[in-house]
Amino acid sequence: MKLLVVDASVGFNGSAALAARWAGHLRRRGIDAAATLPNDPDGPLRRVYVAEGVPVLGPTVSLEPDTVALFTTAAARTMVQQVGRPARSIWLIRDGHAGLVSLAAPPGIDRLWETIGALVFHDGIQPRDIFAPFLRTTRPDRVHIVPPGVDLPQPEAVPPPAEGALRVAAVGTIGPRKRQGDLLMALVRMGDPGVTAELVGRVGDLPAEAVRAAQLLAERLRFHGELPVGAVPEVLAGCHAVVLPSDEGIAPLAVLEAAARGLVPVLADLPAYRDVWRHGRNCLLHPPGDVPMLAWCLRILASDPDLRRRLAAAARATAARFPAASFCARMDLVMAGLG
Amino acid sequence: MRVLFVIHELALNGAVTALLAQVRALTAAGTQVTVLAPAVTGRAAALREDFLAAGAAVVARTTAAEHDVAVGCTVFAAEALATLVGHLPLVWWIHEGEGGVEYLVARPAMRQLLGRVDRLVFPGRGTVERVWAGLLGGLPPGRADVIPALVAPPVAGPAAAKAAGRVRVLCVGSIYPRKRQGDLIAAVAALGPAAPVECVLAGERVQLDPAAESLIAANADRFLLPGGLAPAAVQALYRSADIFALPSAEESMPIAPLEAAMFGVPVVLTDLDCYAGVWRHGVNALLHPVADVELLAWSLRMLIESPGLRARLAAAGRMVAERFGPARTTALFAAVLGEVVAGRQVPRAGAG
Repeated sequence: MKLLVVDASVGFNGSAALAARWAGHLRRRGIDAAATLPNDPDGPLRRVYVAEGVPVLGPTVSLEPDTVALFTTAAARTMVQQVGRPARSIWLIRDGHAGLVSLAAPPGIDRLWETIGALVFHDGIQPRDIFAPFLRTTRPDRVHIVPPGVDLPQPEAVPPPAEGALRVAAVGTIGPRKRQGDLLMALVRMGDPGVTAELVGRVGDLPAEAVRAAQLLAERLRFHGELPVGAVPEVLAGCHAVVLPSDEGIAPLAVLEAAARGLVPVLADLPAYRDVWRHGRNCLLHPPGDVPMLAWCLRILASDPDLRRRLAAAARATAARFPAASFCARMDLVMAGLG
Repeated sequence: MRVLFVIHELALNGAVTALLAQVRALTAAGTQVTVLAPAVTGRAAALREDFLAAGAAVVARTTAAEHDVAVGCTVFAAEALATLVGHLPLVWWIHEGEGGVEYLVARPAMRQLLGRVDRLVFPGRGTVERVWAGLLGGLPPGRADVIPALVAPPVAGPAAAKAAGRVRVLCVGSIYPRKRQGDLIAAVAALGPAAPVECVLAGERVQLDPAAESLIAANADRFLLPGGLAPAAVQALYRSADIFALPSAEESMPIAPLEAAMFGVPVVLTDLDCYAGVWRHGVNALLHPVADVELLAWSLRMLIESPGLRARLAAAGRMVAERFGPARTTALFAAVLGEVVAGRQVPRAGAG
C-alpha cells in the first residue's frame, strides 16, 4: 500500500502532530507512507515528519498513492487540485468553525464530501453542529469519531507539582485566534507581581491592548517562539497551569499534553470541550473573551495550592484517556474499513 | 375546559408552588380547575387555602366524567394517574431530576405509565436530554414537552432588614441533605471571620448535618435560619440579598434561583445536568461541582469582592429568568392541554 498524507498545516500544530505520528506509526508497520506539506513545505513541519521517519515529498506530488489521508479542511484544496481521485481516501477534520473558511473554495470541493471514503472528526459536535450542512451527501457509515491522542509521559517522568508562585504556560501560535492577549490582560488585571507566564509559539498579531499589557508585564513573560517538539515539555515542567483562551477549537492537543504533565488547564468555555473539560472538576473555565473571569481563574490557582493540586491530578487522569496509541489504532481501523 | 390536577400533597415546596402558579393562570383564563389531593393536614396541606383562593376546587376523590383532561404532578402521582388511563386524556408533569428517575427505575409498573400518558411535561431541556433520556428512548417523537416553571415578575415591597456593610448570601429551600445547605454553611465559614458576609437559609429545617450545626453555633452572628416563610417574606429576602446560592446535589429546574434572578440577585449553583441550556458558568451564574466547598467559597469570594461581576451576572441572570415569565409558560401549558384534549394524541387504554 502507498499512502500519502496531505497535511495543509501552516507551521507545527496539533493536526501536524497527529498526522506525523500516525504516518510514522504506519511506516513502522511496513506501510509506504509519505507526506506532502502544501502550505509549509520547508519549515518546522518537515522536521516533525522527518523525525517520525516519514519522507516528505515536494509540492508537486510524484507519488501515485492508492490511499490519501487529508489532514484539516485546508488539505481539501490539494486533494482537488493535485492528487486526483485515489481508490481510498480519509479526511480528518480537526477544525471547528474556522475550518468552514477553507471550504468556500476551490470548485470541485463539494464532490469530495460525497466521494471521500472516510470522514473523521474528533468529536460528535463537529458533524452535528458545525459541518452538518456539508454532510448531506456523505454516507453516514463513512463518518467516524476518533478522539485525538498524545504521548503520555511515564509517571516517574512527570516532576512533582512546582511550589512557589504561579507560573502558567500558553502553547500555540500567538495571535487573535488563540487569544493569548486575554491572558496578558488578565495577568495585568490580577496585579500579582509573582505570577509569570511562558509563551510558546510563533508570535503573530496581538491587539494593541494586549501589546500594552505585554510591555507592562515585561519581566514576567518569556516568549520562547516556535520550539522543537521535544523542547516543549521542558518549558511545561516548571509550570502549574496551561492557559488557552481561544474562542474556537476542537480538542486542543497542547492542553492534553500539558494536562498529562500535571498542569491545570485554564480554558475558554467552548461547547467542544463539554465532554472532556469540566469547570472545577479537571480545569477552570471562563467565558471566551472574559478577561476578568480569566483573571479570577488565575487568582484562584495562585492562592489555593490545594485546589491546584486536586485539579492537576484530575487533569492528568483526563489526559490519560487520550493516548497516542489509541488514536493510531483507531485510525488504522478506519483505514482498514476502506476495503 | 375542565382540568383535573393530581398531586400527593399541598406542601410548601417547588412542585406545589409551580402547580399553584399554573392553577392561578388557568382559573384567571376561565378554566375550571380541580385539584385531587389526599386529605392531608399540617405542613403537607400548607398551600391548601392558596389553591382555594385561586379558585380551584380541592377534593380527595372525583370521577373522570367530571373532567376533560388530567395532569399528574410529580412522579408520586403515578399510581393515581394510572387509574385514569383510558378514561381521560393524560398529561404527566414531572418535576423531579435523578431522584425521579431512580424512583421509577425501582417501580417497573409505574414506569410503564411513561408510555401510556398522552404527554410528558418536564421543566427544562437539560432534564429531558441528560437526566430522563434513558427512560424516554422508546417513546414516540413529540411525546415529551418542555414547559419552564412559571416565575412571577418581582413585585415592589420592603426588603428584609440586614446588618449594614454586610453582603447577604441567601438560600431558599427546605433544609435537608439533597439540597446540601451544609456546603454553603461550610463555604461561608471558610471565608474567614473578616469577610463582610452573612448567610440566610430560608426553608423548613428538616435535617442539617452536625458539622453544619456546629459551624452555625460557632458563627451565630453570621447565620440566620428563619424557617419556612410565606411568599411575601421570601420576596422581602430576595430584595435584601446580594447573592443567591443553592448547592443542591440534585434538582430538576428549581424555581428559587429563577426567582432570585428575577429580583436581580446573582446566583451560585452546582453544575447539574438539568441546568444545561439555562445556567452557564461565568455567563449568567457561577457554577461549581456538587460538594466542592472550596470552589463554592471561591464563587462567593468572587462576588463579594467584585461588585462589577455581581452586577453583570445579575443582569444576565435576570434575562434568563424572564424566559420563565408567566405569558410564555402559561401559553405553553394551555397549548399542551388543548392539544391533548383535542385528541391529537388519543389515549389508549393498555397501550405501551
